[in-house]
Amino acid sequence: MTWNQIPVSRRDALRGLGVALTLPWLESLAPTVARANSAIATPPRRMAFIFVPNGVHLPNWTPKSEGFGFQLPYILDPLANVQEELLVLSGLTHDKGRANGDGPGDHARSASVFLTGAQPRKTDGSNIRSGISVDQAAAQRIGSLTKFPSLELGCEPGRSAGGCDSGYSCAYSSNISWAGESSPMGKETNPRAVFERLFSVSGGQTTDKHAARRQALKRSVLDFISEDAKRLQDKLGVNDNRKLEEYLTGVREVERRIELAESESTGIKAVDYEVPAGTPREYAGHIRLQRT
Amino acid sequence: MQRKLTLPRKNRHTSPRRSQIAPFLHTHCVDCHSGDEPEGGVRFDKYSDSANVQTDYELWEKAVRLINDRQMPPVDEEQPTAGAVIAITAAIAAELKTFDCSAAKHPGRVTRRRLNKAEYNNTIRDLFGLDLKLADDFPADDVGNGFDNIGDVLSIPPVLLEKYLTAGEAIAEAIFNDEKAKERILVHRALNDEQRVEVARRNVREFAAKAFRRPITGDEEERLFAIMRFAWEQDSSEEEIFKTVISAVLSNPHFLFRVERDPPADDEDGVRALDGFEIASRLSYFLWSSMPDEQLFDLARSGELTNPEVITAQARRMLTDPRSRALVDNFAGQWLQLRDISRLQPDRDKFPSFDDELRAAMRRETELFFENMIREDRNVLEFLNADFTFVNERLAKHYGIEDITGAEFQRVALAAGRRGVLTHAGILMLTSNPTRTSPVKRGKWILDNILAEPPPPPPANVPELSEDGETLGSLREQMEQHRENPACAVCHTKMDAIGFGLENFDAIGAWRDRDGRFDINAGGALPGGRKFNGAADLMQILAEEKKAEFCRCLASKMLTYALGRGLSSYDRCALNEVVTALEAGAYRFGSLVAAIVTSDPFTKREVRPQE
Repeated sequence: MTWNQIPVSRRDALRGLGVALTLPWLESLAPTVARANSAIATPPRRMAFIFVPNGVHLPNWTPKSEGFGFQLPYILDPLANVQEELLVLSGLTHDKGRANGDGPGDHARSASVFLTGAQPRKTDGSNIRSGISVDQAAAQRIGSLTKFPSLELGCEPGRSAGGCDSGYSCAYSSNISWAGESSPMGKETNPRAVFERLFSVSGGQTTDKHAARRQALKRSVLDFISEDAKRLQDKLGVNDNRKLEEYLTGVREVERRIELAESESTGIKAVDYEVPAGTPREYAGHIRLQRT
Repeated sequence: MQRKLTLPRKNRHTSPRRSQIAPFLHTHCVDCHSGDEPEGGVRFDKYSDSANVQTDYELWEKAVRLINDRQMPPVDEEQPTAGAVIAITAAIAAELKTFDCSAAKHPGRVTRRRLNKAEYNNTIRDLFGLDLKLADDFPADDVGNGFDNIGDVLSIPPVLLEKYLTAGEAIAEAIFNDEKAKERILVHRALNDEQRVEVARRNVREFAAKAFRRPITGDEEERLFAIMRFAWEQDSSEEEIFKTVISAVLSNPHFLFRVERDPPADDEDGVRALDGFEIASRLSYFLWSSMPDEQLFDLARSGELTNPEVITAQARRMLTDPRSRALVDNFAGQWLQLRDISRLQPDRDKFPSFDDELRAAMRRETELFFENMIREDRNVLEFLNADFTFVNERLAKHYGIEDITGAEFQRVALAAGRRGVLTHAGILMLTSNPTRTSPVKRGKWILDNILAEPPPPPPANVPELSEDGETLGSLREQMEQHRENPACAVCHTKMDAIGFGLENFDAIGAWRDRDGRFDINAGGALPGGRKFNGAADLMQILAEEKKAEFCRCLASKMLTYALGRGLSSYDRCALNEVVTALEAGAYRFGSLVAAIVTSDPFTKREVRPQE
């Protein structure tokens, strides 16, 4: 990766939110633990997936020749200065994106199969099932190296009324990231909310007496709510339990982040990036900001 | 491999339906679905003398769905004609109607669901009197069965839990910056130092009970008190102690989820009648998308809220409360897809008069119509044939109605040619393409959302309409050519007839007599031969001849929304009762709501053995 040679402006930093999670400024979000353990300060390598729901015009996307030194097609032209680092893979058609006896619904299937490779169960509301997605498989394995195991960003919240596609719940077409076969990850579409989540300095230095107290109180709240979730879990059916399990996963994730913050010897660096105002009305501007 | 499905001779001609079902099964199904190792464990050869709907109801429902969806028979097998699909669907449906509802009661089970964004915002508003709308920043709620309050589809990704915690802290902060909100929570005041602990405890107990929408247990009270004591031991100020306990309550699963108790494991039929508090929440989240108010809590405490008459009276009271506006935003907004109006962009060159003001007016018109339906407890058939609507100056201009000025909406008589919500500009726009009308889309939308007769999906590889009008003639002529293909005709005859009846309205719902160089012909005939001329005529026919279908469709959409789950086979029984009550109640909106809130699925909870 050659990201380190790119000069980073504040603007770039914002732009980088979606795609370029390997930009060096994000090092400030990597825990000191990870850095301290290695002799060279190497930030953990990130991976990113981008889904283009309506597809691309393949003749202008796929290089004409195979192997090194290919001619960049028109759509990929903006990537010219990183072409050396670029691989274009073709022939990755998902068989599980086909109907396979499930009838119409290509739009819903195309999104849900993208990172899961799993045939989504055709259902509009009950017992939705896809599969764990590759980003979440990675996040569950190595996500502990970063402040957030994964970030899910988007430019459109998905439909808020009616049907999405031929008897498939909108959960299939609105989400590409699945933490488990029935747990879509949801996504943030407001750049301001994403920014605040990434850069809010909560907790921080344990040397500050007030901060230490606040952390202790926060922990008592987390203990209380996870205790209640566990008690509820004992009493519930399968689908109910899944919801509580999602809830508890969220609690554990927050607990982990508090521990992380406490183990930071220097605390998280203050950042002074410009905060985005909200969701731009104009779509291209929104995409630029989210860069998903 | 061929197997014969033989019917005992005596049964062969006993039922006209059965005479249709058996040959279809024989031709298309039994080759795989028979014998000792049938495909998918489904055997059709055992139904030689009866469909046994009483015991095998779910299997037949599934069969209808798969056949109608063209998922069965599999694509590599010989396909039934579209006509045969429609006939078999109708025949099995007729057989299913013989199901005896008195034999088995299955109120069903709602997956414990979290509050969705609208519900969270409204609940916080009603709990503290603070309209903070913090859930606007939560990730979008996914939609299932047409609505965004379906338990099975509402998941809790880690980012959402994080937002719950942040929102809980922000709300606790906001309460202490607002004297009124603070008084709502710290209701009781200590007169001296000795009372302080006891009063604090009481305040927290009462607040938590409101937030959990039920009395809290002694154990819960102890644990909340333990949080307070811990905070006190950390040298927290009184304010910080309360803030901590408030965020502990607001991020608690008992606040965020709608928790209902299951029947005990050893219960004989696995069905439990909900208690008053559970019913209070069902009512309030159905009609207000929010928490119950004091009156509901009082009736829950006294035990009266399990009485159907009390439930009905409360539902009627709640409909007249301004909070029932939530039913417009969330039920009507999704049933009639009014929420979609804000994301549509008609072609700027073809419709230069379209702007955001008109867009907003379109949505408001149908919302006001629905609000008025609730407020005046009107006849639901007016959705189809009302001769009035609500317009402001901008929309009146769009409709060609004169002498309306200002941004305020007012009730007006509809112009000739328009009747009911299906001729509202917003709905005409959301069933069009950006550049032109789509009679097929309009027809299909009405079959899906108004008549609950969704057509099966089209067969594969049907050619698209040509965009080049020169060679093929008017849109109607093109569609008629398309319909010459018998595989298409069987569904399109119905869809197109309805859609073409609305052709006098362009893609943004304005009246027109011509489409390009062609005169509009908005006449047609419904299957069965009933002729109509134009939209007003068509709407009147739908309101007269299709009212049973419409009522059933509206009732099933509203029941789905009220329960927060998709309807299952057995809900057909409850649905029948709701529709009957609606008819008996002179089609009044309130009688529909009353029937739903007193139905078994709404007032009971079931655990079925396979779960």
